[in-house]
Amino acid sequence: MTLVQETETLRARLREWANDPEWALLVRYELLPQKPAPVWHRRVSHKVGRLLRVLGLSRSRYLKQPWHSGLKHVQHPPQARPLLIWSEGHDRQFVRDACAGMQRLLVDRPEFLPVLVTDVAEFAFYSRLGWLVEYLPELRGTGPSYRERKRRYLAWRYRDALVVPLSAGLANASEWEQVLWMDRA
Amino acid sequence: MSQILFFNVNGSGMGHMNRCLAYALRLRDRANVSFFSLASAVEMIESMGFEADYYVSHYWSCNTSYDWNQELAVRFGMMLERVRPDVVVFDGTWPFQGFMAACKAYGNPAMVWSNRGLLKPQVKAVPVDETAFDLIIVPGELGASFGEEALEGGRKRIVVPPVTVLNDAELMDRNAAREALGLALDGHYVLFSLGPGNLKDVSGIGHDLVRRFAAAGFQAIWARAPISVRDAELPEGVKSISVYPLVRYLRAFDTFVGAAGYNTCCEVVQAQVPSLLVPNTLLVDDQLRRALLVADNALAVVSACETDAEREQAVGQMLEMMADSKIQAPSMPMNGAAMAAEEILALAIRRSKR
Repeated sequence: MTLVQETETLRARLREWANDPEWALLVRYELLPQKPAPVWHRRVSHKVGRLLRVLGLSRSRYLKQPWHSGLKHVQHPPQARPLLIWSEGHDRQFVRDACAGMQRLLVDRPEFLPVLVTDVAEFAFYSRLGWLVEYLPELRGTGPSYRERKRRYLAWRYRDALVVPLSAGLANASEWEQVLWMDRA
Repeated sequence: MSQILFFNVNGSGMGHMNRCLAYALRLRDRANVSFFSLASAVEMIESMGFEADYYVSHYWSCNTSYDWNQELAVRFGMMLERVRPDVVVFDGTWPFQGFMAACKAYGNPAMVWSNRGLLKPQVKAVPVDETAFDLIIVPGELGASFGEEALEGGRKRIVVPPVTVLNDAELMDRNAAREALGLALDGHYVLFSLGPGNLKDVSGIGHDLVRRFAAAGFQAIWARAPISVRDAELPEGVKSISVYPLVRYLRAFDTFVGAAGYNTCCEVVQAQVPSLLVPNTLLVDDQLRRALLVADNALAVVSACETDAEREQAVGQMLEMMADSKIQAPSMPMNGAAMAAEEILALAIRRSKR
């Protein structure tokens, strides 16, 4: 599979997951106000809003909930767009090589905020990259697979990000440009 | 078997994670243990045989406190629903709103707060309702012994002796540790472990101390913290190591230079290595007071090492002390982790029988 094909397949899969979020999870773990609002009409408004969300009649709160992918110790322009670097099923050496390659490709790309999604715990190495890291472990337990569930959640959380497979870190300059611009053609 | 889920925050170092690991290691084979870690050193947790997930620390994330907590609630909720813990153990100074909300929404597992004390006097009290916690563990400073206080509603607060990741028997002796690290058996070594440097740049102080110890015939070894966001540039000839837990290898060194975090202070006393402690004054815990406690109980010099004169004096005192003194084994109890683990397990068993 070429890098372009791999990217197309990955983007299609993530789009599919992002379009079918687990709303019940978001409703259940919504951060509710710690204190009731000081005036009655605000209290009523909060209760009605919550009821609509519980009943599945309103989703806008969750869709508007911001999430910033930046890290405080890394400089980035205010309008930088998350770049979701998806890495699953690779060995440690591949992950290190491809991350190092990706870091080189991103040197002249301050418009991107890298977010690495990975199933390999190499955090001492990742800490020095200056990227936000999302880990995909498998955990023993009951119910649906944790990794599968978190994968789908991350696809939704980063639904506005530009997605690339980690193997793009090993691409040459023209392949890299192609991957960055392929959806805009 | 009971299910126990640890939630460790990310401080300036890895103290919160270390403390949770210390408890978890004493629970091994008696409970299923997993971690939700805000410290990025997840591979260290996994290397000890525990499963873990990671969520970016609020110290690192650019999100507002509200947005970070909202996201935390969802992420932690997902983990609660998978692991289904009987007990959740929080180690940190401030239980986050997102953490508390997730536990409540999930269905209130038994909750434990491991809350190291010795905060600076000017630090504001934490506005958290302690009644949400069934058990509060106060990991004691050097010299602390077990104490128990009954709280309303059948809850309790315990103080335990110092909590260390490893038991004394798990520390390597000098020669074994040197062989493991590839150090000469007849060399003179000083280990530097001044913290990850994420909150305070320690390289300047470190470089000057390296030079002074080198002039006295010591080869400097620099411990790189796994959670550092950048590597300190080391003076020529300084070898770096990255091992975990560091205390296992501490006896390889003739002397030690480090910050005065909780774990470091407990570990230098446990390993009986003469130490120069450089308190980090930018943190909420009172590192100066803790370092002075170490100096009362073990071979240690305490200095801010901010100026040339302070560094010269500190290294001079260290060399003098090492030449004059015979190292004494600490007589104080260091078994706080085992005691805390027993209390956590007892709570988990009670909860799982409900």
